[in-house]
Amino acid sequence: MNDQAARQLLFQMADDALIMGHRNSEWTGIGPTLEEDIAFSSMAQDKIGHAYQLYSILHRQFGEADVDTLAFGRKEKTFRSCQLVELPIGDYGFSLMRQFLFDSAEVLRYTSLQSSALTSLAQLAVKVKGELRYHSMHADVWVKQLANGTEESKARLQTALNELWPYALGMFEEGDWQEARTTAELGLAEGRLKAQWLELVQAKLKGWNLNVPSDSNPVEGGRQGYHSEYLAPLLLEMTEVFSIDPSASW
Amino acid sequence: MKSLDPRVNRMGAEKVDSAAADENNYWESFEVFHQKKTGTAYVHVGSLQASDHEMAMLLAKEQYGRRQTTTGLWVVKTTNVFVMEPDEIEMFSTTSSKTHREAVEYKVRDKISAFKEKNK
Repeated sequence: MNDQAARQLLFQMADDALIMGHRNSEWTGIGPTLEEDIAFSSMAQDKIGHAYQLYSILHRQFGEADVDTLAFGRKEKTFRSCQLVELPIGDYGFSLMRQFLFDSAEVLRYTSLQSSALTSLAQLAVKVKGELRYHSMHADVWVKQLANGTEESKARLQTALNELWPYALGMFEEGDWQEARTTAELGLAEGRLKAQWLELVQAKLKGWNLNVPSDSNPVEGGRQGYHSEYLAPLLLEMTEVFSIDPSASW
Repeated sequence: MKSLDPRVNRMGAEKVDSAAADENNYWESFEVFHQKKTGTAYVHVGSLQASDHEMAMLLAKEQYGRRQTTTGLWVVKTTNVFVMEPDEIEMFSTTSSKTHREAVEYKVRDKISAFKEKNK
């Protein structure tokens, strides 16, 4: 297996999960209802757990730094997360729509990794299957209900979808070493994943009477280390404690 | 609203008229029943608010399922649970000569309970 290709993929996935988890955790304590607050916070925690596991693989098998340093001690430029996960939380419909677009892709990606020749990653893909199923179901139920709710809820969702769409397409940007990846080793290539994802989300969105945006220009850059204006302030806030005391524990 | 929490300030949330919010609230109360082992009884663990059964199940999963092993969940609209009136409880009082009917009187009861406890 090509080590560089594996490294790139693991960083992409880990950084996506970490930043998505951090963003979604911003709803903790201010969610729309108590029960939903608990559910959304718990899923944000799951995402940070996925990041932890992926950074652990990088640390154990690829000689990278320890997990805390990988998560909290890196410069913005070294992050390989897509720009979709960096965007501020917006209104709740925006965060739910992002969860729908993001976790639909996560389910497909992890499913294709269940048979990866990188055993640690294959085992992780099997382990998180149930959690991802719930995350995806959560987004489906909410988006469906709000799309069939009031004029306002439907309009807000459609606005969120239009805004998020180019960023969602950017999830499948090809990073470095993409050509060295094989399906048997590191799962479906970005292009094939994108095709599966498009088919899945377009069918669901149409079923909920939402308009799939015709814009097909992705917002890319994240996989190469080029980020939106929103990542730097997020990292500043997320790493505040670590920056003050890297050995802090609680 | 000015808050010490940067996230709240970022939201730019405004104070909500609680009466108007109540008027828009069509969510209902659901009762949640949890099973921790296949074949055992579902136990009432609490309630929650949701828009319908689908949403209730979604929220019950995290609310009541994540801290313990779970093999099943039931959600039931609170309005679909029919409750005996407190004064009707009177019907359960029996004369002392009929206590043999109550299973608690059986000599093996302790053993059964101990066995059940052990095999939980």
